[in-house]
Amino acid sequence: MDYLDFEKGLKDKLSQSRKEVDMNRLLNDLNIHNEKPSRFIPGFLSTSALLIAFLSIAYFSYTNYFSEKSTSVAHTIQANEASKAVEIDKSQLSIEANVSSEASIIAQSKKAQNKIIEVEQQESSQKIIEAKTAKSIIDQTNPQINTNSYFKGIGIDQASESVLNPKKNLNNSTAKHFSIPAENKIILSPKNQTTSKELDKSTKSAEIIADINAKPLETIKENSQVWNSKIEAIPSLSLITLQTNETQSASFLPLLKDCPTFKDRLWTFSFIPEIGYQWPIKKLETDDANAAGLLEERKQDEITLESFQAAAYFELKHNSGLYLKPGISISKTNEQFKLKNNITISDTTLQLVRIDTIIVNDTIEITQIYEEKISDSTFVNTINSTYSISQVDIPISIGYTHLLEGFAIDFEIGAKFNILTRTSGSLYIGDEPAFARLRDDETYFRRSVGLGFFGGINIRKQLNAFGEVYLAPRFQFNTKTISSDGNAISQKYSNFGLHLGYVYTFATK
Amino acid sequence: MNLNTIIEGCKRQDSKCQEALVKQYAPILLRLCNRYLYDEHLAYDAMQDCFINVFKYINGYKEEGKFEAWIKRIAVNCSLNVRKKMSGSINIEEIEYTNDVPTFVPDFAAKFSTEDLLLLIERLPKSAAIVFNMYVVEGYSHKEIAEALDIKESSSRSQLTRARTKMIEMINDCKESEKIRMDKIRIQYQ
Repeated sequence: MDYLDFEKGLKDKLSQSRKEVDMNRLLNDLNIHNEKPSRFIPGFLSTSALLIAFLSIAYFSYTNYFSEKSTSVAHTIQANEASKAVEIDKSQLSIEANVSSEASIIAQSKKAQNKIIEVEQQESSQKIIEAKTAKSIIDQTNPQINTNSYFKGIGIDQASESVLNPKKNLNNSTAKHFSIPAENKIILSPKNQTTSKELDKSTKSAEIIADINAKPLETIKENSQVWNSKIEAIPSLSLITLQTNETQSASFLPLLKDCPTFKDRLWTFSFIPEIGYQWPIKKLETDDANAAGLLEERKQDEITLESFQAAAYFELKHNSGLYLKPGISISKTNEQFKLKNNITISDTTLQLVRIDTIIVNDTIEITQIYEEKISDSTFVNTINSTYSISQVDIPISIGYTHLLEGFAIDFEIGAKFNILTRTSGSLYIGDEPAFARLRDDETYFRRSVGLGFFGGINIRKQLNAFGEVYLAPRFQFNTKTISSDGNAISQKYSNFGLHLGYVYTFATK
Repeated sequence: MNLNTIIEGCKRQDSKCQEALVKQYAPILLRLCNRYLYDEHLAYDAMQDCFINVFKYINGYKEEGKFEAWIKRIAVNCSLNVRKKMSGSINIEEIEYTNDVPTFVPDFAAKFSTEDLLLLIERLPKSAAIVFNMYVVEGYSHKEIAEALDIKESSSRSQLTRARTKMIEMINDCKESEKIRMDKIRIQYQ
């Protein structure tokens, strides 16, 4: 090889060789402050956080509003719409109780009736004590509640009297067709309405008895079992349970299957964990003619191995089917480059070339002539080098749920903002050395890719009152290349992914 | 953003274009400065001086020659200035070196990596390495080298001959098998 050719090659290699530079430090040292601190990322994050916080508060306020409304109805004797609804429920209870007692009378003997009366007397004594205790507790804990009117409503005086004079109580109970004890009945209707309510109930009771008489005996027996189970539940509940304790009364409410529902929600709030497998569509480009060879090599020998994604979303859904879904998503994409090196190794061996035989007198001289033989062996050495790209995104999407028979389909579009991109591993750069170790800088890849968009459908299947699963084919693309400005090869990704998610709804519709 | 846009922006002192210029040329210039100074910190200082001078004098750049050559010349001057500051002078020995330079080197020399070549240059005598870099890599003439280093042209020629002789000696000392083995190890440990 001519020495001047060597120098020419040396010049070509060295004139374009590069050394890694800490750009941020250099730009600071040179007082070049072009990059203004980005307000978009913190702005976006804080807006998302505020939105989620606002939605959470709105949701809980909304649910508490209805809970408090129903509680206040029980606590307030004033006639209003809500209290009327509760009164209706309670009247139904009372009527059911009466009917149950009456059915028991029909079904059982006179002896059994007397036994019931005795039991009721004992329970009524307990109720009076509980009522008094409850009154004192409420007086102590919440003096704002007008316990006088409240407990007047439930008729402690009457109940006390019945304890002092059990016979009178017995007579009263008997006179009312062996209905539930006086204090239980008073629980279900305010004092100032007692007379009219009682009359009303008596009328209704008479109608029901007539109806029972008209029904076959088997139907009455079946119904009486249901009624008995319901009426058995009533004495087991304390006054405090029925009128002051929300959580305990909630356990009673499921028994009242015929109660009207007034929690038909306008919005529902859901938490959605999701995992996904993505098929990245990678686009490699360059404007630099010097990097054309490297581009071809990477296109030919670099393959995307796999890409995984995991995300968590909060979904706020209107009962019209429209929804808003912000969240956070992480993903990891692995790339592999296969570098094939041809290595030639020269082996020098001695090879027998000729055998000369000379006969001198009687002596034979054999001369073996060897010469060096150089044989070249070529091996292909394949080096597999991988690097991975990890990204954290903030996605936000809007969609519409279309209900079908047995399942639902969401049509969804959204935007995602990449807040963090990290690369690790070794990238093929074609130069010597062939691979560059990726570090936590922007030599080859950006630290944030910026804005991207996505769209797809979610096929949902309801599992229970609170849970749904969905399978979602989704396409997403980034608006910017992932490569940094210093990287001659521009690398851009789009993804087609299949995602599996579980929707946990905090409130049922 | 193409180079002409960047240059025009730098002339207007547009910080965005200045940043683009720095990002494009800093890795090349840092390597260049390192070839003259053999010290990363000094090379960084020289590169920084180079960019300051580029931004200062870019309005004087006539778009006649290649911009990269222009900016590299500034980088060479800055490197030599840093070297001068460190040791008081560039201190090129005035020698007469008349050995005949062999005209051939083994073929495997073509396979040397950039790192190998830098290592070879680093092993040259310092004065000879500077002249070798300026003449062979940067393309200076002996006259320009003599002016830049304040030496005679004949000294520049002698230093180049010395560098070339030494370079060929070192290449001949390398064995191909060793070269292959080193490559293999380097790739595996990347």
